Amino acid sequence: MNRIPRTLLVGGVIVGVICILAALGPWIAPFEPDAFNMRARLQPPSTTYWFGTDEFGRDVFSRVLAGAHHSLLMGFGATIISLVIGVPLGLIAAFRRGWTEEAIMRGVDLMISIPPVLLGLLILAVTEPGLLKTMLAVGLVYVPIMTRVARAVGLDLLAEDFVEAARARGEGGFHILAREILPNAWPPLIVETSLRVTFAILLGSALSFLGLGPQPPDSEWGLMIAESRPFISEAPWIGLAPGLCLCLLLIAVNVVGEGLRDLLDPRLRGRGH
Amino acid sequence: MTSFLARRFASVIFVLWAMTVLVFAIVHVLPGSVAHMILGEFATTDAIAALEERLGLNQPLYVQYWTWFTGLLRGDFGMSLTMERPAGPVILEALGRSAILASISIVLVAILGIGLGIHSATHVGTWSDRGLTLMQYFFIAVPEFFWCILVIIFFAVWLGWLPATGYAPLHEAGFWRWAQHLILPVSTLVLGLIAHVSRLVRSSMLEAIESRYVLAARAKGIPERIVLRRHALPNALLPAITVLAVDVGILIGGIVVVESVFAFPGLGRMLIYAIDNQDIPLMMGGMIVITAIYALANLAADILYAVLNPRIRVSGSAG
Amino acid sequence: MLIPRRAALALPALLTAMPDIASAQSSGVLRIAMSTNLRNLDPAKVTIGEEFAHVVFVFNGLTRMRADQSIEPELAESWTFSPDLKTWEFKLRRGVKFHHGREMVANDVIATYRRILDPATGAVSRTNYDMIERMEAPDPYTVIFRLSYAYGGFADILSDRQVKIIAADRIDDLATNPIGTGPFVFRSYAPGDRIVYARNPNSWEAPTKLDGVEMRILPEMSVRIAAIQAGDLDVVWDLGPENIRALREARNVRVDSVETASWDGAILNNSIPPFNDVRVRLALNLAVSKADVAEAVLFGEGSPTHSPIAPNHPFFASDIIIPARADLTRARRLLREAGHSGNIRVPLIIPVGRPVRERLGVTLQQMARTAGFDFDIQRVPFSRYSAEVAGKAPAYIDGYFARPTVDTATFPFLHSRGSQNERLWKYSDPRVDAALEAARLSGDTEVQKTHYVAMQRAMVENPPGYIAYAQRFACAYRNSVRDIQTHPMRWFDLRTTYLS
Repeated sequence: MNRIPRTLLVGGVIVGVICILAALGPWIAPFEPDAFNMRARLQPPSTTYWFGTDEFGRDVFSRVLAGAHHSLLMGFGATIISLVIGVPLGLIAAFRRGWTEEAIMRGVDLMISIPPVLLGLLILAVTEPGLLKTMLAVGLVYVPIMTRVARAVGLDLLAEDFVEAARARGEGGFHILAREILPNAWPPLIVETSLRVTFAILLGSALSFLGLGPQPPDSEWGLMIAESRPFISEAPWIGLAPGLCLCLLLIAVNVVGEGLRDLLDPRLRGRGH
Repeated sequence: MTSFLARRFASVIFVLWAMTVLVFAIVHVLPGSVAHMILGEFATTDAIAALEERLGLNQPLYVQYWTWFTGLLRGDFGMSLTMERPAGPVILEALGRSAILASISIVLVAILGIGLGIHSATHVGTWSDRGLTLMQYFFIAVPEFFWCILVIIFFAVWLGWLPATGYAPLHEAGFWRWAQHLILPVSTLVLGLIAHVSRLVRSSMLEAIESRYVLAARAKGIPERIVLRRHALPNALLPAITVLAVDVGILIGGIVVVESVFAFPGLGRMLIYAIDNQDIPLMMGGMIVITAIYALANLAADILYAVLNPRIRVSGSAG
Repeated sequence: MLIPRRAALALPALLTAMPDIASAQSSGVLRIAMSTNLRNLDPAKVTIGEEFAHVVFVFNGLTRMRADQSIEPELAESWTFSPDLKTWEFKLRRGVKFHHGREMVANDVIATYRRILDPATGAVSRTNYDMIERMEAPDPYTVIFRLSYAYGGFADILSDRQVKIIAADRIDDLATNPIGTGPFVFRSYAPGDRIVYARNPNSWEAPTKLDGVEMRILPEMSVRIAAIQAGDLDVVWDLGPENIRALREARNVRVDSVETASWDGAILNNSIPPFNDVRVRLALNLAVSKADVAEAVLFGEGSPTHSPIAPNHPFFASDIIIPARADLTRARRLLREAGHSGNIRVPLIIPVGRPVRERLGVTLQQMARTAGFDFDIQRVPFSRYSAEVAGKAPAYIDGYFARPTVDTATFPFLHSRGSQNERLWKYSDPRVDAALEAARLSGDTEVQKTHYVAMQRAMVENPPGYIAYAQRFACAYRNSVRDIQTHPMRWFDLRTTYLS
């Protein structure tokens, strides 16, 4: 086992802190995220209002705290969905080859041909918006990529000796998948997963920005940025605060992904996307 | 080689056709109706029925699909339901304008991304390399929509340097103003992608530089520059090319947001207008065009990859 | 070719230093920023503010509404009406040329109205003119309208945006190349980008001082504001209330806002629970102070009102006090009487892309909470409103532009048989019905006022929904734009405007 890379440590700490803050958010926020205060509208950041106030006098810092869990749930939830659906599909395609593989991979080609934002837009235009639905939509959008990666990993592993040995021992397909392939497939899959989280958070907040995620008065960061648009010239902090926090989260998650890659599979550093 | 090409091409045709079915299905599952949209909130039921009859919306779905599909093959995108003009010219004009944004962006991404990546790889550990790496982390993580807002705040509102509106027709405004108007939207589109591509090129180059082939070439006494150019560079470029194709997709997604914010009258904005107003022919036409471009970009990348592949030994199998 | 590094760094500065030739006002073209795409160029089908502005540039009506909301002749030189208010005779102006050269005659007027009344056209305002039974043209310059019921304000409603006179021989082109008699000729429309008009040199009025007009479509408000400050635009149409403060400080730009009768509110469905009970509707009106709402949502750019009649209108019932504070005790008592002892949970639909109305929804939700209303906000794109929301949802936020007459602003919405009531709140109050019908039968404004005041009194006791405020309409102009008025009907009268 290699020494834990510095990137992983630093990134992990930042993500951890954000998660803790997000979990504790509603309790440690200095003000009620929803509370109107007409006398303190559009105030710049100060010692009372660390991130200033918005058009209703609501404290932006409290709203950012209260909304943090949306981005985290979106990123991790959607990625888990894409994992749970995509990995078995990909491994089955790798293992079965032939007709099953063709069908699965053609389907994947189809879904990959639609740019993610468009696909998300369409899925969400059909249903009422909300956190769960957006998470599902984003997860589905990334299933094809997971399938492709899982299939590639599966194909690699199937060529290995221990799989041949297992087959020679007479083990059935499912056994091989579960006992031999899956345990060895984790490292590259985890790396891909951590990269996916970044994109999932991005896509989720883009969809919320377009009005298709959590609804007001929820303070999802993408939604907050969208709602800040009429006030950019007067009160830029309303949009800057959630935006910068979002960037921080994304950078941290990205760094963790890099760190995991360094740790688990340095071979992958040169690989394409 | 030709059989590979033929198979890939056939696959693209299949994907395009399947796209028409998918797009049609999704669009017709969308709630709301364009007749309601046109006639407004207070339309009576028979007015709605009459309009739907006139627009051909009450025919069975497969008939509507067939009419649309055969029209597509003839190059006829139908009539825009809300604007009462042919959809084709609207889509193609919008496409032309988006293409300007997209092509300038792709060229910039390719040149700057590859250039910066090579520079980083050949100057590992220096300040410029570290600085570049830091910037890369940052740019990759900034969401497109936030970029637009940041950029508007900085350059248009605070500094007043650059025009905040995205489009000035070339023939009207002259070259410099046209270029000025493109700076903000294009830079918003490319920064994240340049970061992405340059990182990739950097790590591929590094890996190639340390590979056996390069070591062997060096051992033979070949000068460093030639080693880099003949052996390291092609290996580094390969993943970059595949990534560029994927980036076309990301570019398309980014274009939708960037066009809305900068009021650039391209395909992305037209699509959002079509979705907001339930203008079905415009929606379907726009989506087919976008996915066709995306599929063709992927095809191009696959072909390029296959063409370059046999001539180069790549370490390990590509994912 | 490698660009030397120093030169490359200098490039941005070079680009921005280029002389801004195109924005110098040598061309005399007025550039106006609009917020959304125009869907229809055909007067019979226009529904949004941007389209109203377009229609006034290219077309004229029989009558015209001034900025003070009084009516004056336009294409009709004069008119007379029978004592029973059912026969109206209009004398048309002679020598008025359409943009394609032909003179306007009575046949064009009849074609226009026939088209509006034809259900196949799908004109939204058709029901406003359903009193027209027959039209006759005894000579090319006279049109006689025979009405099926007496209507005192007939000349007034002929000034409306949808009944501008079109050329009878150019009906098919209306969507792509609208031909009218107005001060500007339509030149081109690039959807998503801009509409271009040029001066009409053969106008029946004095040709405009402006060479032309460009309406640019810029959805992002911050972009519009930055553009007008930078000189890329001359006018920002419909400046949001949140941006008025920012621009009042700016040099080179002035802001002008006028009171209008455009109103926003929460439409409560009177036929399904919980708002089918008048006590619940009353409770909402008591629980949320309209003064607070106007301040929160409009930043002071509007005033609370009881009905579609604006506070500055002579018919406004100023003696009915609008409470400055919420009356929570009474609200809660009414809710208890109506059978709701705990919180009422209701979905509240707000339209995506209309920031002022979205704010209204969020404000209403927040302020109504203490009284026991638990609103569940759902943002729905406006395109789904008419199919799913209008007339069906228990509560949704919506708003309506000012109409040319008090009758057209109230009757269709509030009379139990009003054409729009059924797809709105399904409201019915016999006192309101009686007042609206009586007001139509008189031409005396004092008499009309008593009826409309009675209507407002009834509405306060039995509110159809939560009519929050009448909103002011504001535009921003660069100081170089002279002699332009902000019209409460949201269009521009550019006949004497010029750029200095």
